[in-house]
Amino acid sequence: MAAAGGTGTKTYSFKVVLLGEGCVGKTSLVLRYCENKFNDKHITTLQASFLTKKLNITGKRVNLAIWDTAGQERFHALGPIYYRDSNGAILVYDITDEDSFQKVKNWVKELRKMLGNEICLCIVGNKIDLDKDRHVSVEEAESYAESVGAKHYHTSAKLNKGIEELFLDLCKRMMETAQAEERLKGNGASQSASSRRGVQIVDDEPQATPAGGCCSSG
Amino acid sequence: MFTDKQRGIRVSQEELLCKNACGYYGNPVWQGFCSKCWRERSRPAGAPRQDTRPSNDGTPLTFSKFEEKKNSEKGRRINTMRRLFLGSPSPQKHPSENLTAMLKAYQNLEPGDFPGFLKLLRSPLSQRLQSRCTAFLNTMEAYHSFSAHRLLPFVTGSAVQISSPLLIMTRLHKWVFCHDSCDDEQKDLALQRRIRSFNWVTPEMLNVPFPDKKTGVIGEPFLPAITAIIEMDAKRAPQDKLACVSKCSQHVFEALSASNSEPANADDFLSALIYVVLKANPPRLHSNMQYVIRFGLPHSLMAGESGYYFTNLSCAVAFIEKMDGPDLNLSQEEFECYMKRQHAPGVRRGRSQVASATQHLLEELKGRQEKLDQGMDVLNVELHKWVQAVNSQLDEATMRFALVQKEITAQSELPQDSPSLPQNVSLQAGDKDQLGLTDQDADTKDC
Repeated sequence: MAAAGGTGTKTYSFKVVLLGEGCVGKTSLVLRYCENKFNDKHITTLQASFLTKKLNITGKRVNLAIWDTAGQERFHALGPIYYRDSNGAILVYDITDEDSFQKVKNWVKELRKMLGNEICLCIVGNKIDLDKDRHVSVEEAESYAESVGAKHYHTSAKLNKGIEELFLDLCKRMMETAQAEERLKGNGASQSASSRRGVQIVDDEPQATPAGGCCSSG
Repeated sequence: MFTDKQRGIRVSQEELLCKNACGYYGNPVWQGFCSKCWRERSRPAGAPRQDTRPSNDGTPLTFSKFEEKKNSEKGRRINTMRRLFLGSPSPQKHPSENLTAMLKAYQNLEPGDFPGFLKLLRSPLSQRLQSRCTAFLNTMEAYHSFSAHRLLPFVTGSAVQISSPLLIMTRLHKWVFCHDSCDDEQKDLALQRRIRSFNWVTPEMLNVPFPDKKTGVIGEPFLPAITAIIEMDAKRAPQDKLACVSKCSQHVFEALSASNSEPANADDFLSALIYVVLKANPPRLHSNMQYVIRFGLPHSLMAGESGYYFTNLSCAVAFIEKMDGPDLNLSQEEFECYMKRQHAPGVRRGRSQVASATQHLLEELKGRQEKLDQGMDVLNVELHKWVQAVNSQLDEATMRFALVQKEITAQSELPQDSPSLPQNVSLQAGDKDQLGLTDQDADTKDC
């Protein structure tokens, strides 16, 4: 998806999917990022399911298309249709809800199975303003994220904490992936060997547990 | 070439026989010769237009023979065309005219007539035509890349890139939409039947945030969206079809915003879209979506917002194809029950529920009214009684008063009146007490 224009001014277009259980704050998170608003009556957009953001990172233009996905359990099987061709995934859980973290683990397994290592994963613990009701420990979440090759972030859409960093970091990582892919295309086999090794290291963990995806046909 | 043997289009009795007068019937594709004479003639000439099939005049008419006949008819038509346009047997004389004729021959081919096409392709004229086409294409390509990347990178390039697929796809729509080679048509019908079988699904089952009746929305709030998605089938280019999907989605968001002040999230949107698809049952939905997938440009069309909406539509269709009880907050038995009685049992059940509830309410109201009537009767009677009681007491009191007055006057007439006075006062006080008591009684009855 990384569409390159001329040689001097390169514009990247990235598709990022937001995954996570309902009520973990996906919509608030993305609204806060794109509109800088939270629970506001004056939100101008009619919808918060498809939002775009233009960024300029180290002189390179990046168009970010953020796709919100339906988080209800009955829509779980539709996941593959949503995250097809996406460059990044933001997996949101609620730090006060252990179940939502479990859901994130399922998503990670599924994504790695379907898309391999091309997709940049971010695991996001939202609602840190409710830290006193925390049910998912920081250590557990961070060690899990590391084990699956994802990065972990703490955010609060209410207090506008950590959101800017999350998206900026994700964009940088996606750019790196895109650049590596370009080099791969240019250079041929010697690079692919090294990147393949990377796949193996990361893929170990998710395959140890039985696959959770109920519909992996897509 | 053997065009000199026969000019014009006419079929007379003599022409049906072989030109060689061998007694067999001739065939126009063999220039009026029978197959045997034709082969003998054509072999020394080395003509490329030679049928490789062995002559089989005696064998029964099989399918291959039928096809051969069809092709030969085609060939005759081409020959006729060539004769009409060329007029002269020498192709070298007027190359451009020949090429035009050749082009005409190609145009006259019926779509799907591959053998005829192959036959045409083998002629030397075709080769020249082909080289010209290639040259033309090369020029076009060179021009295109030149204009797109160097000369006018922003105006012409994008305009060409956007409008040319639009034009091409509009023209090609008839042939490439729902092509015979795939079973899209069956899938269309299957999907349509499935959607029709879900006519009992209500917005509540799908958790669609439906605007309340109280807010004053009359009729179906998703009607514009339903119209837009049905319109998709009428459009030809993938871009136009996608635009319909986007329009439909925008209408869905508008409808959702009427019931909810916050911006709609993906859950609401997808539920509403599923509802819209179920209500609309768009014609040839599967074919239309396949068409967009096959011929929509992946990077310019499918990546942006319209791509998102199209993905959601795909999700909605995938959901409908796999939908079962738990997805609609129903138990499996309820779901099967609904599926068996396909004629809007949901609506009927809903209505009967409403009816029974109303009946209940009416009965309750009736009971309460009866109670009220009874109470009123009782109150009436009591009021009546009270009035009577008051009247009788008044009568009694006036009677007593009259009596007392009489006594007083009698006593006043008598000389010793002093001992009777206290007795009189006590009597009056007793009257007053009695009256007060009856007043209180009336008050309590009123309450």
